[in-house]
Amino acid sequence: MSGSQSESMVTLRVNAADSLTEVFLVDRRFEKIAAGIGSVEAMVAPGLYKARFRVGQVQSDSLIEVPADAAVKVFDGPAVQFASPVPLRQTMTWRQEHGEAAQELSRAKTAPFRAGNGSQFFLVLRGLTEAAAQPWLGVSLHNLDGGLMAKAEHGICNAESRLCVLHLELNPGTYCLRVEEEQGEIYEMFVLTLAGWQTQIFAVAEDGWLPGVQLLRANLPEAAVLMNEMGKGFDPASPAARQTEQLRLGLLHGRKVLSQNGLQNLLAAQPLNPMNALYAAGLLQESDFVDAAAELAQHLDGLPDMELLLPGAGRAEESPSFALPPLLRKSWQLLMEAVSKEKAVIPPGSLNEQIQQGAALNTALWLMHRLG
Amino acid sequence: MFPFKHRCRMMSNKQHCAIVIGINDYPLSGLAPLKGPVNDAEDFYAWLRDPTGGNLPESNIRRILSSDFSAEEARPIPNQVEALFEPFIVNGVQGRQGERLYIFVAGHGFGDPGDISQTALYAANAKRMFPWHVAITDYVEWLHRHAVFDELVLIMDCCRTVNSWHSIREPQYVVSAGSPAADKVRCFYAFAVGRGQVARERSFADGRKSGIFTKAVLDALRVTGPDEQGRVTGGLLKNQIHNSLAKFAGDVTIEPPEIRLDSYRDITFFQRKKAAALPVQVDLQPYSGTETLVLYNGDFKEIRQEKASAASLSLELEPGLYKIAVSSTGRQKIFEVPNNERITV
Repeated sequence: MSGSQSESMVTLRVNAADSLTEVFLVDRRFEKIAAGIGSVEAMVAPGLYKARFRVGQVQSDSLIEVPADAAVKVFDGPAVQFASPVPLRQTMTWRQEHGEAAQELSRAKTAPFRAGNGSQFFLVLRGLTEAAAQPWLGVSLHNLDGGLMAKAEHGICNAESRLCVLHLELNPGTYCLRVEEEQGEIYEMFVLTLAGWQTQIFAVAEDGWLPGVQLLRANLPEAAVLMNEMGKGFDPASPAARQTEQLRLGLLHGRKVLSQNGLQNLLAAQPLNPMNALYAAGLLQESDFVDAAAELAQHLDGLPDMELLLPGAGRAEESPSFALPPLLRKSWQLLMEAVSKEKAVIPPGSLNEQIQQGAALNTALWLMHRLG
Repeated sequence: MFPFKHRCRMMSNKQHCAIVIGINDYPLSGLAPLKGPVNDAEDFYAWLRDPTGGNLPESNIRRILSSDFSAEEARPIPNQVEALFEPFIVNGVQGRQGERLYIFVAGHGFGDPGDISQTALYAANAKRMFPWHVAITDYVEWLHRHAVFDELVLIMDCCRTVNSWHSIREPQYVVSAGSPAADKVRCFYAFAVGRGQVARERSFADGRKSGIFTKAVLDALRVTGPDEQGRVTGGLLKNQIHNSLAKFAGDVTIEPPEIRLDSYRDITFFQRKKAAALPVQVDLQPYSGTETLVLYNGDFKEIRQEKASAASLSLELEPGLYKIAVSSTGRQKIFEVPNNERITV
């Protein structure tokens, strides 16, 4: 809205419920007058305005009255109820039973299953519809040699709750999480566990995420991954968990959810959550904040994603060799481009060579490939 | 099909042409049949023909619908759809063909797994293992590159889900360098949803199923208010669509559309004196018979004041933000037109 010279202007500050929500402000003619991440501020004439809050592909609107008798108007927006595999409060996929079970079981100091030590793997598979009563079907965890670590059905599974929780103690490292979509159709994503951290993976069982397959299976291509220090577990009301999930949604939907301030806040956290570092590295691809790359690259040292997503910030070899797969599909695409330009090497006989020769799903956030 | 003039007819009004495509049935694919696309295409065609709408001569519109065939024929196939583009390509190599081209597409669509900007329409004979399709955005890109029209308006009310096994094949048109005028082409590309998302249809008050996005687009074309120069631009249409979609979605959960345009080279769709007014019903609760209602616009300018003679009254308001208050009481409400067809104060 354009105000006349004589009209007193008001500072309108619109705050989203969390720091990674996109905020758009429009005037009475629906013309966009400001946009930001977490909040926006604009000098406006007294009048009516509309704020739009967006997380991933979900948005909600609020109307705002800016009175003439105030120099500053602050409006605090509601939390956007987005959909998530994580049972977070204030999401459209919140199920109290799932959230509370995940919270309680993730806080166990020792995991019920031990296949190593130093890190934890915590898998939550959910069904949101009656038909998805057994979300654990076909899901299993393997080491990089393909050896079975555990089947999801070995965890706590409850068809009535449509919930499965598998909690393992593992040696820190990279593992393969598989889902058998139908007999012989097995897809695999990669999961990282770190010393002192619990890797939390959440997926919802859905039908037909592969064309022509109607069986209800865990939708691993859209799985959410969080990490927390061992013993702290998962908290469905945690702003930090919500923030990490919003980073994933931003990356998944190509939204520019990292502002300079937001990035600085992420980097200021002690310790920096490893998943935040990974997602931020992916989002930096879409931004201009190159200075942060070097700082981010110090985290998750040795993870192929960081070297691929933050080139120049890591090792300086001319043609680095990548034997182990990255976690993100975006990183895999960068690796393929680097290999085609002879700027990176995939060692013969490596797991990466197997993936390269097979079929990688090019629709997932995560690097997922079909076995066999 | 009607005979097509290879150069758009010089009507006294416009040099505008259109391609309209609507496919409901996909009998070979396993894709669920749709109810909306043919209705959407017919509605868009009607708007194109409407003298107060697109105002195109019939001969400038090339149209194909799945209802032109029996459902079991699995038609149109890609060649039948691509034939609509062919004259523009053949003649477009020679140079400019007109001022504006509308391309309206409704049916099952998909995005390319590798190229995030590309979207295709499944042809009616699509199969899981042979995903026959028409690379709509490739055609539009070609027409842009060759400056065949000064303005390109693409409206795709299609899903843009991405299927790892279905990539978009470039059409078999000629390869040429393009036109130096390509930079001057103005574009308005409106997709029902972002990449990877599912477009939705639902039943409307007229008893037919329609695409929610098409409904919002057609409504925006009819009601969007002009700027200070009386122009209804692509930017204003985009704002209107983004801010009215909820009204058409009703109870259906939808994803936001993706609308691409260059604000420095925006299209002026029409000249219009003012926005069309939309009905809003105001209910007074409680109602004593002594209330006086005051209506303000988004600048807090009082635009109407009257004593309420009934517990309910009807207003006709242009799209925008408003406040209504019951005088001498604390009762007031801010609301949005569209999206608030009935309010209580």
